[in-house]
Amino acid sequence: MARKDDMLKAFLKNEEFCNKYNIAVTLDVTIFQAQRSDSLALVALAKIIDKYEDDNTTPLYQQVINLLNEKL
Amino acid sequence: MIINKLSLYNFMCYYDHKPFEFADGLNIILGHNGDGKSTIFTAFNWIFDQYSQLELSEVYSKKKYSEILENESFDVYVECIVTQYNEEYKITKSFTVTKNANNTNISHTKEEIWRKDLSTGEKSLDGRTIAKLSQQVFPEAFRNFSMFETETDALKIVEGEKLAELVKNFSNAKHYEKLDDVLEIFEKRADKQFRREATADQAAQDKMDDIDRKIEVTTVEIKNLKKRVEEDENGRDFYTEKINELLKNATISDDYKKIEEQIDKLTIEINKARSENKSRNRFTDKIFDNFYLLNGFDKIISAFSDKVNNFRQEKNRIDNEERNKFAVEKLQLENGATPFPPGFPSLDILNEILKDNICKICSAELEDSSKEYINKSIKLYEESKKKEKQLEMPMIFPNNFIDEFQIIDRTIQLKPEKYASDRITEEIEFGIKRITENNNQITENNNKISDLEIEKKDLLHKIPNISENELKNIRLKHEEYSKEKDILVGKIGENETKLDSKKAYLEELNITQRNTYSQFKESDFKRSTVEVLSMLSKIAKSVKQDEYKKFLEILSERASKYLKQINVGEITGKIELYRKNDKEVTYKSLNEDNSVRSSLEDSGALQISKPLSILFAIADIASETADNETYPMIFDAPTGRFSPDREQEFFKVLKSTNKQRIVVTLRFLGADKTNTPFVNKDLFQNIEKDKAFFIKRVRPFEIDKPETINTEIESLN
Amino acid sequence: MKYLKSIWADRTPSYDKEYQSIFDKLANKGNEGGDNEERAIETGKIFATQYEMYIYAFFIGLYAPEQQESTTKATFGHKISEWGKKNRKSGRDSFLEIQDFMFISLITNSDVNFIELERSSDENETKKAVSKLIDLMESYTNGGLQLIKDKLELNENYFISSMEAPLNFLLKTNTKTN
Repeated sequence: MARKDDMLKAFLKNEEFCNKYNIAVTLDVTIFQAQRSDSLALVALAKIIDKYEDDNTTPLYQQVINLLNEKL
Repeated sequence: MIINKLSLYNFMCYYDHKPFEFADGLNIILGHNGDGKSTIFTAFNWIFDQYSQLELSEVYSKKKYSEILENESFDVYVECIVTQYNEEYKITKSFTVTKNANNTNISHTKEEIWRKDLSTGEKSLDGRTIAKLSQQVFPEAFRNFSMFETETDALKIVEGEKLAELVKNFSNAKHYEKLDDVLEIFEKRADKQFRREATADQAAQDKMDDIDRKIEVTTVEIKNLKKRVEEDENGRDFYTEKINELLKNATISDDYKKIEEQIDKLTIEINKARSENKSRNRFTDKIFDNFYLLNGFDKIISAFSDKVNNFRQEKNRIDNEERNKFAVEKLQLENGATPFPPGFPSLDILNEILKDNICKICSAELEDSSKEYINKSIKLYEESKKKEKQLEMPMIFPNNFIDEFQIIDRTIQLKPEKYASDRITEEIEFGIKRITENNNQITENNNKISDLEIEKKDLLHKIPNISENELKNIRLKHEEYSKEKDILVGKIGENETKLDSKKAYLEELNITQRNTYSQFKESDFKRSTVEVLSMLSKIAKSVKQDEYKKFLEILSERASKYLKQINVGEITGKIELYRKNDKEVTYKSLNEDNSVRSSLEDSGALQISKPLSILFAIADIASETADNETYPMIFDAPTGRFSPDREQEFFKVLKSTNKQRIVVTLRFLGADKTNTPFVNKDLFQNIEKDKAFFIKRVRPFEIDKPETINTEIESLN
Repeated sequence: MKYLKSIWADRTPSYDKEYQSIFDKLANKGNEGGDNEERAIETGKIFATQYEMYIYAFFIGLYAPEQQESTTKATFGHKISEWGKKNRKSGRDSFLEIQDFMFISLITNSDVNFIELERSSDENETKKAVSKLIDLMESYTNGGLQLIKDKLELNENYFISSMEAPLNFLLKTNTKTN
């Protein structure tokens, strides 16, 4: 959804975040694209934005934690 | 969503079937208070608001009830036809009333929804409850600002928490709310998990817990201090505004007081003059007290003096004469024993005179008569020597009146000014002159006072919202407010210092926390995981705030635009909406240069059009965010304080939104001698509208006989 | 009593009854409330007391000059010495000096032979002389009253037309002779 893409972009506007996690700032990144990024933080973010509206966020949490712990 | 039709069957004052067929545009319903305007709102609420409670026994048409017989019944309906997307919904809420012998039976309410697909024309029964359907066709969030019955309602909607709700619902920020919540939860969970799985000695754990607690406490303290500072800043701004107002009026106050002082001075002069004249006017008393009576008396005084002097001389003369006579007589009577009268020559000289025949006194030859006289005297003298006879001088003047006159004369002469004509004339003339002068001054001063009173009134007109008393006390008030303001400024300073130190302390705690954190040896759960989530949570919060701010800016701009549109020709300033705190959004009025605008300068129309402008702006933006879905606005037009021109402007603005507006108003109505309302066609035809209705109670009716109440709807175009 | 003035002041002079209406119209009776102009005005009169009116008329007659004998006599019953006594309640000045002035004018204008009177030890002669003075006084007063009466016939409101009217009338009478 375009809205979620916009939300992602809002986060990417934050320089500190991008610098710390080596995220290349591009203007047209979508949630879909972001989930394939090299930067784990970006992948995690994209996942969260994608699924945060779920009634139960525990699975999402687990996913994100595992992702970050494993590969970081 | 469009409301196509509202039908009322035996609902409250609407006896039998009464429909409103609405246009997709501006609909105006004209009606006097009590004729059925409120009922329209009641009907809409009953349908769309699932929490609306109606006492059904009070809601059915008493007229209908009075017409049915025992054991008969009738239905009460509210039916609403709406169109959304490509579907038309006929929503009906109803109940049945049965007239029994001893009571009235009212059934439960029934609901029915018929759905028609507008492309196929297919009709079907929709099984949802009306409540559920409402959430789709007219959600509560939109209804909250779209429907308001009174001016007060409109004002309430744009206040504090309600406005914050609206903002939350319609800005993008609402998405970030949820995301923020989720990220915050994730962060906390991750943190907890990390700590649980990391190995650390008990000391580090305890320290961590302690720091956590301290951070929590300090965060709350900071929040409270911020709140207090904000409150005090509001107070300070309030006083600043008041003080500025006062200063503006202070010069007027000083001028006012100066004028009063002048008036007092003039009045004192008038009183002095009046008092002086009162005493000077006593002419008749003064005739006597000031001896004006003696004007011209001086002639009499001199005549009196002369007369008295004559008396005196005459009296002296007579006195002398008599004494002489007496002396001679006495001489004669006392037979020579009488001494010669005083001045008479002695006996020897007399004999000598006789002998010489010459008067020794005048050296002339003695005349015969004198000779005779002398002889007689000598003879008498010699004879009197023989007899001893004493004689008394008889009283010549038994009375002393002439002496009395003389004393009076002398006494009077001592004070000549009493009867001096000059003195009297001068005094009278001077008195009259003073009287005239005083009268002139009184007139002059009265005129001056009149002029000054006019000046005073003019000053008061310059500041119509302040009473005379308040104007006089401006300097006092100024001191009061300045004192209060200073107290607040002091408190703000104190609290800000405290705030700074608490923030610094929080920083320290955070640093300590991080350091303590690093003592936790991580296991499988990496510290960096927590860090990522922590950063994301922070960013989400700031993005949320940005979204709010953006939204409020857009809303402010739109609202300001509507404000200018409605109030064409007036300097309106602009509206700025802002978050007062986490829970409340509010707005302030600014001038074009962003200085604070005092609401005292606003006309009544301008004041009420501010919340209206905000509501229109919200309607605009809401429709934009809801994928251009629009909802109708149903409200009672609060244009009571608008001039006719401005009212026209107001309706023009409504029409120009090109969205459905159902507006109820009693404007454009008059009432004749029998109190029957009529439409003021001249005024009303200037208003651009799509549809118009006129509701009125059928005459005759009696207000305390509900069975006579029947409102009818007249379509006006 | 050795003073002629005292004997004179012990008399009660009268006026011609035909002028009673003038007194009633212009002079306030009684002393309650004070004997000043305010009181007079309160009661709608010009002169605060009867004797004020009398004195006023006397001077008018004196200055004009105008004399008139009484046919029928009337009086308000107060001796001259009681007119305007000292220490008056209203704070007005005493009239003793005015009495003196009246006496002076009578002595001046009287044809009584005071030299003869001075020489007479007969008290009756004194009494007769004083009576003549009183007669003269009364005739001046009547004269003044007549002039006042004439003025009122021309304009019945003359004396109340302004605060200065009585004064003006008095002054005019003076200037006429001057």
